[in-house]
Amino acid sequence: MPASRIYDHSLLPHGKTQQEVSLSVMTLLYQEMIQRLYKQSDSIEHFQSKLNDVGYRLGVNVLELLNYRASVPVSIISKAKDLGNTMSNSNTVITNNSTSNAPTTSSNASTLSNFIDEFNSLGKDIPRMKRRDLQIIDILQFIHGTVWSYLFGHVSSDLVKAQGNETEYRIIDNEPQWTQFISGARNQLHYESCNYMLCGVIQGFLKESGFPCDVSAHWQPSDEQPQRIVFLIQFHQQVVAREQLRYSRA
Amino acid sequence: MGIEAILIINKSGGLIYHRSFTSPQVDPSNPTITSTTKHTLNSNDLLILASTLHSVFAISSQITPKALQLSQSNINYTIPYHPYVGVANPQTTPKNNMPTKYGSFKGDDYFKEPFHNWNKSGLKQLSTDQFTMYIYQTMTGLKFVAISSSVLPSGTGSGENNNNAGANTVNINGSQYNMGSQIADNLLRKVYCVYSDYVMKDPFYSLEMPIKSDLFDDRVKSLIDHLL
Amino acid sequence: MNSEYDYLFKLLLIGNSGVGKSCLLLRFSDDTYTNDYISTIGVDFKIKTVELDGKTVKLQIWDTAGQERFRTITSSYYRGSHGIIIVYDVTDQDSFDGVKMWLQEIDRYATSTVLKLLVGNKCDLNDKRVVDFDVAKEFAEANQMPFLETSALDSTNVEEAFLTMARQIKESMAQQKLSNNNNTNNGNAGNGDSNNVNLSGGQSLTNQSSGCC
Repeated sequence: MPASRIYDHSLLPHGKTQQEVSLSVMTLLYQEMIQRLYKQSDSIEHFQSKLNDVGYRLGVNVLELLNYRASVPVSIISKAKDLGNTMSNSNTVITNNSTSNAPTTSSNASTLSNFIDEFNSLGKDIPRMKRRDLQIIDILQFIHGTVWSYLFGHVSSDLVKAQGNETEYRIIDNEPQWTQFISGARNQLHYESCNYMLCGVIQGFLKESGFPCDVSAHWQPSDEQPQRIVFLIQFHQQVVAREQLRYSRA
Repeated sequence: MGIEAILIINKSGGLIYHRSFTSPQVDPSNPTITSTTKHTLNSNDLLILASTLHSVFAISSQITPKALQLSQSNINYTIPYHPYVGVANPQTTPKNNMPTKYGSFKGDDYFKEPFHNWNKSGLKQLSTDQFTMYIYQTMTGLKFVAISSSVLPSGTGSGENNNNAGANTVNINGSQYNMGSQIADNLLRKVYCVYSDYVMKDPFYSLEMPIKSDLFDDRVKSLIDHLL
Repeated sequence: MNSEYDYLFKLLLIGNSGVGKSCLLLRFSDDTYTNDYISTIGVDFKIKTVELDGKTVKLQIWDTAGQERFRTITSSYYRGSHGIIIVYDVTDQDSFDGVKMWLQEIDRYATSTVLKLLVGNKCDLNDKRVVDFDVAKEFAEANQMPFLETSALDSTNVEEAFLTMARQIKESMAQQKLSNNNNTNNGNAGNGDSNNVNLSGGQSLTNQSSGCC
């Protein structure tokens, strides 16, 4: 398959056939981006907000994509997968032997039309689809689990609610993938700033789903996890107030 | 083989990294030993040492015999892979002691295949009765140098026969190209792997300048520690 | 560990044999002078540590041999040098004429962005002078490089010759450092911020729901 496959990626979730990008290329690109933004910035805050903006746009896209994927019923996903398999099989058959595969293609065509029917009937399922997350905990769980898995292939290391502060939550990543080659001990501020792209992703995700907040990155190393980063999410007061009004009695 | 020091020399002959692995502590029972056997070069001496080495390297490539230069295509420059040089062997290491991964390299070792030797005409190994020095050069001219405390008896080497000796192939993996050198190349290539992760992917590193990264330090240290 | 310096600059000294490259270097690095003439064999190194904008910079100066017979080796030293200082002797017309040849060498072996500096040495020997200051100055301007006259004997301009070069190299690498300076100012404020944030305590929410993955 050509390398451009990642752009042809279906909106439907692929399950096990996760698309992979070379970590080496990803981190090299990341460091080039940081170097570029850093040179253009006149203060560290400026740099952080530039990097944050890049992540913000990604966060918005991820919000749409992953919410859609999470809402598609499982039956459709498995059908889509089967179809994908038969389609690719038939492709090889066609190229190998074009005369003897007539029945195969027609059966494929029928599978396809069945699938399209079924897919069209997805409209009926809309009321039963996953609803937009309305509670702080739900949406944070979604970030901690689904978003992290989509971006990094694993859930985040921890999700913590701050004690004594209703507005503060923390998402912890013990081995931040994008910044794993940048040293925290040498320059803490630089290292934390490099993580602001992910802050932007979180902020974009939350803000666009109606949870305005500020996100910052903090370096909190431990002996085993020298790169450990804490993403501090501070919701605006209105979010907490809304949640209390809506859910406190329930 | 014990590694005493690792040096990295950039392509213009400047020393950009040096780390000594001999513990500087003085043996209380015999304090004289450390002072005579361990080198205590200051940073200027090391810079001069590195640049001199770079020069010798350049000179030695000029005195490579013409016959050898002409028969380059017949020489097999492949260096065999030696498993788990400088990393934990999954067969002998308990599971919980295994590092999870090696930077951007997948699997339980940095690489698993024989590799090409770019150092075709320069200095490769320097043997004295005090130490042996190995040089691994990358395609871009970066040099990784290992100083080993082990002394090789001259003229011997347990060269492996790597079934790559064709009809008119000169096998440099033969006697003059010994096991120690192969292991050193494997090790230094891993230092190169670590360099490509922790130095080249550091946005705050300026090219060709001294390497100051604690992460890089840690990984190099771990490579040396795992070397028996 | 090797982290006692932040930058390592490679400077190259070239010029005809006997113009006083090694003496110039000796004056700069050790502040001494010797009248003995010892021809450099191949290459010699001197290192001088200077402070520029709070960064420790090591200037490693490659003092090449001027003699023709070492020429094949010296060409390999041009690679990656940050600055090249061409030295001639103000009392020796041949050495000044040789500068043209050295410039060709630079074009051939060094990068096009390398910094160049023309230095006329032995300017204390004014009575024996054969190369006029103005002639050399004009030549230097035509070739777009700065020019200085020095004397290794009475140490005129020696320090300046090297430090000017070091500063220029530092500046050419420094786009990144502009913002760095600002960062150190704002950096404290930023650090203060992160210290004010309370990151301890709290309750993990990860096991409360299985709906996440």
